[in-house]
Amino acid sequence: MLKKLARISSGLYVALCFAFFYVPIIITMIFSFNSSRSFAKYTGFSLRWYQALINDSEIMAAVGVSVSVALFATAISTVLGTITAIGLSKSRRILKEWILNINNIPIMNPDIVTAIGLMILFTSLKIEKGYITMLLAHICFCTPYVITSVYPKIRELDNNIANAAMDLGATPFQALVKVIVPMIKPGIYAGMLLAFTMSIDDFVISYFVSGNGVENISMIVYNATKRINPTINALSTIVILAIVFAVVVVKLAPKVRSTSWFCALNEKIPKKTRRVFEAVCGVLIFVILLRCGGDAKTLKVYNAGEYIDDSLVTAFEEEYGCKVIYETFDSNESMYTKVMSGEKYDIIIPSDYMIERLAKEKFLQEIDKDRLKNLGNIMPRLMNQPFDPENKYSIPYFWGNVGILYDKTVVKTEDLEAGWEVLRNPAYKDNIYMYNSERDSFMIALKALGYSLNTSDRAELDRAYKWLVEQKERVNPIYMGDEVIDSMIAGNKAMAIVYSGDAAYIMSENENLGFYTPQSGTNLWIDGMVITNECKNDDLAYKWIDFMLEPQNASLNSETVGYSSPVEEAYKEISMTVYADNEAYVPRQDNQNDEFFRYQEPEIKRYCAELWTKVKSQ
Amino acid sequence: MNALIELKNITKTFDDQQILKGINLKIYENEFLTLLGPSGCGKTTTLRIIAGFDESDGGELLFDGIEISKQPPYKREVNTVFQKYALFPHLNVFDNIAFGLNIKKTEKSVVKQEVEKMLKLVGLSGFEKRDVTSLSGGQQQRVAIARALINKPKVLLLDEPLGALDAKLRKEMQFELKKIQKEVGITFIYVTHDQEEALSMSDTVVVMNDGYIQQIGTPTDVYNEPENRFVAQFIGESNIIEGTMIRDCLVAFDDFEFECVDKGFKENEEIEVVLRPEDIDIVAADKAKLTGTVTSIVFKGVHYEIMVQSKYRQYMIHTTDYHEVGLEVGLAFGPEDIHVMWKMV
Ligand SMILES: Nc1ncnc2c1ncn2[C@@H]1O[C@H](COP(=O)(O)OP(=O)(O)OP(=O)(O)O)[C@@H](O)[C@H]1O
Ligand SMILES: [Mg+2]
Repeated sequence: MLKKLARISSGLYVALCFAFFYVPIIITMIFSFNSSRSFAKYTGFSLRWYQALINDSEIMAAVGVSVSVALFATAISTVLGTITAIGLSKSRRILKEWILNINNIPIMNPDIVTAIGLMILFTSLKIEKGYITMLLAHICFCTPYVITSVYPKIRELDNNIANAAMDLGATPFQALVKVIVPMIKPGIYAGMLLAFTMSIDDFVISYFVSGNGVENISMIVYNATKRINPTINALSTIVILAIVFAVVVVKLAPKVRSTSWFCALNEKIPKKTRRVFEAVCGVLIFVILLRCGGDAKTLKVYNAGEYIDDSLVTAFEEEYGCKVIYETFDSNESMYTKVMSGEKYDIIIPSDYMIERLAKEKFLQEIDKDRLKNLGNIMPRLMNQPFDPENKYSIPYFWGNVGILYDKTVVKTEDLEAGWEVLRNPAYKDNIYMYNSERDSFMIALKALGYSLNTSDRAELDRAYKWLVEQKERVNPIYMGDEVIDSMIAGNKAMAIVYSGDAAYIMSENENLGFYTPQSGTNLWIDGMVITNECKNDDLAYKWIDFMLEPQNASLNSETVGYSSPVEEAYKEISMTVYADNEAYVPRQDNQNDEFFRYQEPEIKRYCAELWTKVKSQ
Repeated sequence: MNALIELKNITKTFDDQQILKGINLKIYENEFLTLLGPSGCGKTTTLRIIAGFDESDGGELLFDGIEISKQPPYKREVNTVFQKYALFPHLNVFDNIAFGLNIKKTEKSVVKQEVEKMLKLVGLSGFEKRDVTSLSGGQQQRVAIARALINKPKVLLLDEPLGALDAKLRKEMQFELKKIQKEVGITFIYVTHDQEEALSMSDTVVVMNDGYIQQIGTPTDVYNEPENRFVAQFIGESNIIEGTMIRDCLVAFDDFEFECVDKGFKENEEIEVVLRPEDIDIVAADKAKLTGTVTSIVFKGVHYEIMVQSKYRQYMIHTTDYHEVGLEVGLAFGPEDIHVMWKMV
C-alpha cells in the first residue's frame, strides 16, 4: 500500500518536472500553427507563420548569421580550447592553477561585462564591427567552456600515453591525433556542445559587438519586443525539432555505427564527405568575405525594432542604387549606450527627449531644410516643438500620445469622465495594467494632479508619488511592459495604459476596445529622424529622410507599423481607410494640456527613479 | 665487443636537484641488464633518457657509436614497456599491438600476420577483439610487451613491468620475460627495485643509489663481492663489520685476526668486512674464536634466522639447525667466506 503510494507520488513528481520543462515548449509549438496573431487565443490551424518566416528576409538572414557564427565559433573554439587544455596539462603547477582560475572568470562573469569589454576593445582597436567581430567575440566566450570540459579528461590520462605513442614511432602530431584526441573525445564533444549552445542563443555579447546590420536571431527577437511576432514561434518550433533530431542522431549514432552496413558505408564515404565539407567551408568563407567587402555607397540606419515596413528599405536601395545597413534597438537608452560606445550611424530615429539630449551633447548635424523637398508634407502642428525648436536637428517620423485603452463591455462611460482618476477607481480593482516605466507613470500622476509632466518641483513629484502609492493601494494594478499588447488583444483586463500606435493596432485585433485620452492632458511624443555628426554620406541621408516623407511611403509605413504618420496626406488616408473609426490612430492635436517630454536633468531623473522604486516595492 | 648503447657521464637535474650525477654504462647486444636501486635513485630517469622522453643535461648517449641525445623518441630504435602499461583504451588488443606498424603504414596483411605472431609469443592468441580495459593486469602487461616488440626494436626498455602484479604472477612473468628475451634475441634494459628479481633474471646488474652507479656486475659478483657497504646491504642480508687489513690475506676485527683471500689493500688500512648470514656456522663455543649468546631464533621457512650477541655486535646467521635462546655458541667461517670491501667515505 505504502509502496504503491510512493510509486505514484514519484511518478507524479517526474510528470510535474516534465510538464514544467516541456509545457512552454509545447505551447510555443502549438501557437506557431495559430491562424491569428494572438499568443493567448488559439483560433485555428494555419501555416501562415511558417510562410511568413520563409518570406522574412531579415529573420532568414539572422538565422544564417546565428548558425554560421555558431558553427565557426564552435569549430575554432573547440580546436583552441583543446590545444590550450593539452598544453596546460603539461605546464608547471602554479601556471596551471593561475590559468585555470583566470579561465573561470569569463564563465562566471556576467555577460554584460564581457560584452562591454569586447566592445571597447574592438572600438579602441578600430576594428569595424560586424560579422567578424561577432565571430571573434563568440570564439572568445566559447573557448573557456571547451577548456573547462576538456581539461579534466586530459588529467585522467596516464601521463605516459603520449610517450607511449611516440615510443612506437608516432610523431607528436600523430600522437595527438591518433591517441590523445580519441581518448579525450567525450570531453571535446561536451565542450563542443556547450560552445554551440552558448553561441547560438547569445544575445548580450552579440548585441554589443555586432554592427553594420549583422544581427543574429536573439537580437531580432529581443528588439522585436513591441509586437511579438508569431513568426518567432515558427522559428522556435523548427529549432526545437532540429535539436530533437540532433539528440536522436547522437543517441543512435553508436548503435548505427556498429552495424556492418554503416561500416561499409563509412569506408567509402570519407573522401566525398571531405569534399563536401571543403565546399561548405569555401562557401561560408566566401559569404564572410562578401560581408566584409565594403560598399562605397552605404547608409547606416538605426531604428527601434519593428518600426518600419521592410519593403521600404529595399525600395530605397533600388531607387538610389545603394546599400542600407539597417539595425534595430530596443529602447532609446540602449541606443544611446551603443552610440556613445563609438558605433557609427548615419541616421538614427530616437524619441523627442533623446533627440534633445543628443543635440545637447553635440552629436547631431543641423539639418539643411533646403535640401528636403518633402518637408512641406509634414503637418505644421508637429513642427517646432520644444524639444527641438525650429526642427534644427530632427524631422518627425511617427508621432502619437499615451492614453487609456479600455474594454467597452466592462468600463462605464461615466467612470471615464473622471479622467486619469478612473485608474484609481476601486470598481476596477485588480483589473488594470499600468506601464512599467517610471516616466510614463509619473506623467499620469502629474497630469492627474494638473502639473506639467516636465516638472522639476520636488513637492509636485512627491505628490505624484503619493498619487501612485494610493493607486496601488486602491486598485492594485499590474505593471507591464510590451506584453500588454498581447494581453489586451486577449481582453485580459478592463484598462491599460498604452501608446496610441499600439492601441490602434490592438483595437484592430479586438473590437471591444476603445481609446480614451483624459482632458487634463497627456504625453505627446514624436520620434524623429536625425543625422549624426558621423554621417559620411549626407546626400544619401537627406534622400532617406525625403523618401520617408513621400506620402505613399509614409502611408505604407504607417499602415504596417500602426503608428500615426506625421505626413498629412498619409495620415488622412490611413485614418479614413485602414484605421477608420479607430480613435487611437488619430491622437488629438488641440489640447493645451498635452506636452512633450523634455530632457530630464540627471538629478531629477534619479529622484524620480528612487520614488518609482518605492512605489513598486510598497 | 662494441657496446650497443653507451652512456658517458650522463647528468640530469630537475628543479635544482641533481638526480643523475654522472652515469657511465655500456650495454651490449643480447644482454639482459637490470637497473637496481631504491626508490628515487634515478632508474626511471636513466631509462627515459635512453628512450628519449627526457634529455640529459650533460654527457653523451651513444647508440651503435652514434650520439643520439637530440633524437626524438619516435626515431630511436628502442621501445618501452611502461610501468602502468600505458595501453590505448580506445583501441582493442589487435589495434594496440598493431599501432606501431600502422603508424609506419605497413600493409594490412603483414600487420595481421605480425600481430598474430606477437599474440602467440605472449600467449594471448584469440584475444584480438578484446577491449584492453577488460583484461587482467597480467594480460595487459603481455599486450604492452607485444605492442613494443612488434616494432622489432634493438633494445626493449622495461620500467618495473611487474610492479603491479601479485607475487605469484610476478614469478611466472619473470620466467616468461626471460624466455621471450631469449626467443627474440634482443637487449633488455630492465628496471626494478626488487633485488631478487634482478638477481634471478639478469645477465648484468647495475646497482644505483642517489644518482650514482654503485656497482656493475653479474648477479653472483654483486652478491658475493659487493664493492661497498651500500651494495652489500641492498643485495641480500649481511653482517658488515669494520676492521683492519693487517696485510694481504689477513684481516683483523672484533679482537681477532682471520685469514682471508682478499689482496691489494694497504697494510693496516681501515676496511669493512662482509659476512653473509648463510656463510656463518654455529659451532660449540670452544671450537671458534668468536663467541656469543643466542638472543632470538625465527623460523623462515627453509632456514632459521638466528641472532647472536657477541662482545661488540649482533651477528645474523641463517642455518637449518635449531639453537635454543640463551645458549653460548661459537661462530665459525672459512677464509673464502670473508669478503673485504673498501670503506665508504
Ligand atoms: N619530471 C620531473 N620533475 C621533477 N622531478 C622529477 C621528475 N622526474 C623525476 N623526478 C625526481 O627525480 C628523482 C628520481 O626519479 P626516478 O623516477 O628516476 O626514480 P626511480 O629510481 O625510478 O624511483 P622508483 O623506484 O620510485 O620508480 C625523484 O626524486 C623524482 O622526484
Ligand atoms: Mg621509477
